[in-house]
Amino acid sequence: MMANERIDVGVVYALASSEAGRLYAARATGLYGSDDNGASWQLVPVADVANYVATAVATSGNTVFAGTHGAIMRSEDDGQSWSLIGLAKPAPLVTALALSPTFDAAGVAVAGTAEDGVFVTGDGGLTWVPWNYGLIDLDVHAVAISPNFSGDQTIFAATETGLYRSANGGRSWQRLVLSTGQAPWLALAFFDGTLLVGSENGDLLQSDDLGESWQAVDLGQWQGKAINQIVAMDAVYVLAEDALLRLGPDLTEATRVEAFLQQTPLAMLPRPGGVIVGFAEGDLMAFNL
Amino acid sequence: MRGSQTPGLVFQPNVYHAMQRGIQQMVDAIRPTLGPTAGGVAIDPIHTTESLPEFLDDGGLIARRIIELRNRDVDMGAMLVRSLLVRQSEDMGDGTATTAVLLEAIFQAGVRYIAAGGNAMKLRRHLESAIPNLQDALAENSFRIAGEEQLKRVAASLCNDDEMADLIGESFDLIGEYGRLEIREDYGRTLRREYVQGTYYYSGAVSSALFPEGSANRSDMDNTSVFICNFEINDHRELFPVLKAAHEAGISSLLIITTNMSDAAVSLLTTNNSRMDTFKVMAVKLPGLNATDRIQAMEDISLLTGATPLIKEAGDTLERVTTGHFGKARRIWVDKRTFGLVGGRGDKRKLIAHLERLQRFYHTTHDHEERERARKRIGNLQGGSVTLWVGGFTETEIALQKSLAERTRQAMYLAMQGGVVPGGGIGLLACRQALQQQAKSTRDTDERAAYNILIEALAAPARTIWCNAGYDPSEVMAKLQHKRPAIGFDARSGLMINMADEGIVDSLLLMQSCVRNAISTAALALTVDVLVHVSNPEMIGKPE
Repeated sequence: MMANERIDVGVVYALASSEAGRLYAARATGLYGSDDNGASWQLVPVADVANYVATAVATSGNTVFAGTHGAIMRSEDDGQSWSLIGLAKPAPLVTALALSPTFDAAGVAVAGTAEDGVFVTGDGGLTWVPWNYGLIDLDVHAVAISPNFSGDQTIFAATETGLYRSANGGRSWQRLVLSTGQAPWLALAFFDGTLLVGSENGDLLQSDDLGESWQAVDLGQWQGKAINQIVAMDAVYVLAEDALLRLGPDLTEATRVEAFLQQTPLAMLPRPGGVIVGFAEGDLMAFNL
Repeated sequence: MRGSQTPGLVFQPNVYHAMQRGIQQMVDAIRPTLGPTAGGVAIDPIHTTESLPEFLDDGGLIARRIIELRNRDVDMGAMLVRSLLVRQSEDMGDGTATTAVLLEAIFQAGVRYIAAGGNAMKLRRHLESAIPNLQDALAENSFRIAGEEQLKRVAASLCNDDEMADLIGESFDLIGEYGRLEIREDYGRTLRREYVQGTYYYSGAVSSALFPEGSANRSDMDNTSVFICNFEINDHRELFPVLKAAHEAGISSLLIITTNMSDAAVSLLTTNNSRMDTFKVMAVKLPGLNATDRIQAMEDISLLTGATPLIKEAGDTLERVTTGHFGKARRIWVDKRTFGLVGGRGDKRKLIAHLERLQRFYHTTHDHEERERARKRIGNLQGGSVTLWVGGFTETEIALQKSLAERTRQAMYLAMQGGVVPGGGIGLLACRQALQQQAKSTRDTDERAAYNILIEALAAPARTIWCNAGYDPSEVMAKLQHKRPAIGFDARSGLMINMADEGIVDSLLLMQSCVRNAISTAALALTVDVLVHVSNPEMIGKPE
């Protein structure tokens, strides 16, 4: 495994790729796009907005959403043109975005914010409405939508003090009581119907029944390190604060794929043959797996 | 002069005869309200200036309106039922008609048994000892409800109004079992609902002068600091330490929550607001009608916002204000009657622990008022509420609809909290099997009689529902004999259906309460042997 690309332009908060293969990086200096599999990155011009911070990005087909301060940017043509959808005042900072598996048909997406909870759209992102019934903690770090959303209407929100579940499409929330207490939960991902959540304290939990019951995943010597992101590919990859870990097929055994000694990885994106990792220090690096 | 015609002491068998008549009359007044095709009851207007009678379909309210019967002996029985139904209505919000017909059936059958030589005290003991078994049998048939569609169906079976059921079901899907659903009268002609984000209180600005010009008596503030105390601020100079601390903390907008504020103090704030573009202050009254409410509101708001309240009783003074006393919220709105907070910046872990404490208290306290207060606090801290606006063409229609919505809301709280059983009286009918087995296994005549009385009585609510819908109860009961226990008779459609599948359900806690109240009151009434009229009512309060 070796790094093969490095660009240093602001904190990398999130990564995503469109159906056509264009990569996106949400960074402190704006939304960047790459048409060459991450070899080079260019700032994406968004309408008339200049000097914006992009804090989240998510895609479905050629529809791209990026979160910024007080608004969500939306493109239906893979970043060629953008519209800016303002969120309710006071201007929220979007921290996470997730699109439903049936987004193209149903138009449901969820945005988590730093102080204002969750915003939900049901019309493909044209309007976003805050729905925070039961969401005691409005400081949202990550959101994930069930793979069977059209059937179970289930969404999860990871917040500073706990994990919340909505069983009605994000309109109201229920706090899940976990054995690990009220840790800040940073990462959420589904892998083959299993929900995985990672905390700042390094706890990694899995649930096969949409949060009804939980089992701890033993990360061995990497237990206790903050888990910043979880990505499901052929296997589950866990982006801990100083290492990229791969879990075994039964989610029991963790092996280190890459170590990060000098930098803090925040975001990860699968790509053919490997992953791209974005760092708090602003770097974007590709790793072969 | 009726009092003088009644002897001071009444003995058996006159006691049973009088009690039977009294119970019968009271229950007959409420019986028409049971079931989906229930009728109403018209009552003489309370105030002589009102020309129209009052139309009621709420058993609790009907019972409350019947203050006394002419015959004092009969009145004893009626008032026994009245007090039970009023308590049932206050505690559970519903279930009065079911309780009434159950009570009557048990009492009448009990009297017959005692008249035939049964022992009243033993019968009472066996009736009461069956209560836990019956409640367990109900619980065995119960199931939880969740999801918008199911909640709508349950609401429909509770209120028999599809439009109201849709809105209430949708609301409960949002707010959950503790959530805040306000029901208010509307000037419009239909029902509508309004979602409210955040936590709000019925307490508005201390003075309209504090609203910005042209704001239509409403103020919205972002990223606002919050200061709470339970003082009356009479001298404007008392505010100086607060404003100084706010200035030191670099606060740009401040909400002061206080018991009250003098005109001079308000003037200081309005002067500040008119001269300072970078520092705006709004003041509202501390919510709550009494000291307990106010202390609890202070506790809740301080946990929501992170503010440290200054409490007069603790010896705090405004001179002690520091920057650490201020809390914060993302958004605050204030109008003349309410103020609300969204996104309080208090410690969420403390808030969650507070909510868990309130939930534990809610589930363990037996004090109805305390429980309701706890539920309202929990609901208010959930971060949102729903208001159902009830309209109509006439005041009478609006009042009826509002009463119906309130009862449905209460029943929904109970249904979500404890689960539901098949409705239409079928849940009670299903309990008969457990009693039949117990009746077979005992050799005690009085115990067997108690079980048999209850077996018959448990059919009374279902029979009443069918009868109110115009069906022959015996005929329906005969058809049901060959059906599975889950199958019931839908009085609206006239079809045999799976009650639970169709959403025709009753709250488990409500049914358990009906059973407990009806049996214990009927059992008590069966042991009354003497009526004592202590004084002639006409003489009470007359000058000598």
